[in-house]
Amino acid sequence: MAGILQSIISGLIVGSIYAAMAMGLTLIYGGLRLLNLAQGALFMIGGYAGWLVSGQVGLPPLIGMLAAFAIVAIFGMAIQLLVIRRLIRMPGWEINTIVATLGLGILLENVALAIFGPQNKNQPLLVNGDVRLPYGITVTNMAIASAAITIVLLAAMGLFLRQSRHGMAIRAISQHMTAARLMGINVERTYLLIMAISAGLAGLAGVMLSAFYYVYPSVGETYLLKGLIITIFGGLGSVKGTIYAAYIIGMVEELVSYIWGASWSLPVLFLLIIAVLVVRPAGLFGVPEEARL
Amino acid sequence: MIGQTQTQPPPEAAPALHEGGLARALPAARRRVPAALAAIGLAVAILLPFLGANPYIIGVALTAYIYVVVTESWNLVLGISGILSFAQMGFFGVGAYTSAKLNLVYHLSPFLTSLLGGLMAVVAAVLVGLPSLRLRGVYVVLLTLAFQSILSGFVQTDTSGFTGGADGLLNVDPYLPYSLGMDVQLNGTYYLALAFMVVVSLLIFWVIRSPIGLGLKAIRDAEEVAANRGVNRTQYKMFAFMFSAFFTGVAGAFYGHYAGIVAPSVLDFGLTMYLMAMIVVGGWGTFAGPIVGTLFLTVINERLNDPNLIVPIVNAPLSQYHLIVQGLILVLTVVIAPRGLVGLAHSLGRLLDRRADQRPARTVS
Repeated sequence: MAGILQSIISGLIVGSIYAAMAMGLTLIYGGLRLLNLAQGALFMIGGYAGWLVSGQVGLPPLIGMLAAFAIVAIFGMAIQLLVIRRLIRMPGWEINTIVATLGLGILLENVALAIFGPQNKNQPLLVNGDVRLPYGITVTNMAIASAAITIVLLAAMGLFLRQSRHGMAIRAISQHMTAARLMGINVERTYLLIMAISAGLAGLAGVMLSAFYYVYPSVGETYLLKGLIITIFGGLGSVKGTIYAAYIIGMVEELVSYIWGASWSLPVLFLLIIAVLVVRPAGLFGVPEEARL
Repeated sequence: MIGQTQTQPPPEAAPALHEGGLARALPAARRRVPAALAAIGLAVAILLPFLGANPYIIGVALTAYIYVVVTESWNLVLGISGILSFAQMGFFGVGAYTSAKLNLVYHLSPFLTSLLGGLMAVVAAVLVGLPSLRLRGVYVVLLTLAFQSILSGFVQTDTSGFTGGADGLLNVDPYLPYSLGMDVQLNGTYYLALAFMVVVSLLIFWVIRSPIGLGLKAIRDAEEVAANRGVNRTQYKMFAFMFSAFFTGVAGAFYGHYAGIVAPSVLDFGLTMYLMAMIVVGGWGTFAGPIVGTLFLTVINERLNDPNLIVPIVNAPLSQYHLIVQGLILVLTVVIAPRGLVGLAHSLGRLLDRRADQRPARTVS
């Protein structure tokens, strides 16, 4: 019983970090209608950025997180300017962007391998110590801090999307690009903004998750798959759905690992997602086209 | 969308009696260039063992032929039908493991087990295709990536001995016994691979030109229109999926019997990327693309493996960074020449045609 409670709590914590990761994919799919398969590599770059800034240089971990967000956001903008901008809306752009971002992912992963080597790197913890709850359940302060940071961040992003001019521009584009353009919204600049934010979120998730595990060049692959599962589970392009799905997937994963062992978590998640797609092809919170973001 | 069919009317339609007969004859001759190149290529391939090629080169060429079968089949799904499937190397692995296992356990002939391996790949294709092919592109990407990663994870962590785990299945029987002598055995296998590639390529060429191919292209370019004109989308996609899975499965089995070992590395994501790069660099959605791309990247890859190529600043052999180079080639091709080498050749041919016309350049849609 205690084990199950413990898994549910870790699921909630892991889920909130997944939410940050998957939110990046959702924003890009919602706004640009493309699947960014380089998101896993961006996650990995975030992990290394955090490790460099706070682990090697010795700055406080919070600065490391901010630095990771900023550095990966710059990577995201570079990808948009150098690759995606040239492909988008050209004939065959859907398949071309998928292949190009996949190639970018492999490229970045192997550049990291060449620079940092295959060894695992440890991320310094944001805070030490843990909290003891009844039934022998313990939660590290780091986990609580990470979950708190993501929740605050997601709330801030919700506010940004609903209230600010740029946020409204993103939502307008995700609903109807041509109409948004006709209303005087600078589509190119908004795409850049979307890429920066979603890359930054992946980078942030990279720092936080690697504080629980490690950073290594191919670390992003599994998280890319999990991010894809979450976005599709929640209904592609739906912010609300993504958040719910992240928590559900996080808990399912932890429970499956606890009951059957960690190697079962990915297969079970895939069976779950196939079942969901067969029953509800639009995902759990699938929304009609006009109600995105 | 990808590799659109040419809509330009053929120059032969122009008045035949016209000055500059030679210039007019040239484009018609140019149209035969692909067939001529194919004939030359085939002749070189047949003569390769007699041209003083050492066993290493024969082995590289043999592997390239197996890859052509895979890329040509994959292109039928990816380029012709527009299904964003990443499951192809999963089918390759299913074929390889099934054939090797049947051969090892029941001592069946490798020829028979290869066919059974192909059939098992078809079963896998049905299992993957049923939930995913009704759905939109993005979902197909996820489910097929998932298939491959589950398969790879299962094989790598399998300790029951069924798949041999990380070591793989060893001592798989070759098609031709070693008692024939090393040279004859290798060259025989080489011709077997060559024949396999030619037969599969011709079959796929025929499928692309057949009404089925037309239906698949119609689904790719305008799914709703195709459906309204009576193309059964799921049935057509399923056919392409199963057809390509069968030959990919047999190719996997061939690879296993040639190498004598089936290891989890056949399911590596790096190999998937390599083969996808072949299709993209060659030009997807065309028949010639996968063949051109596979040969091109095989040659490039062999050049990269040269230990004398040193990267200046870091002072390490370039072969250490071949995945970086591959990723770079893939991204650059998509950004600079999305239609690949075959697309570039098409554009060049059209340019020459227009020059030969000696008329002001017309705008081509």
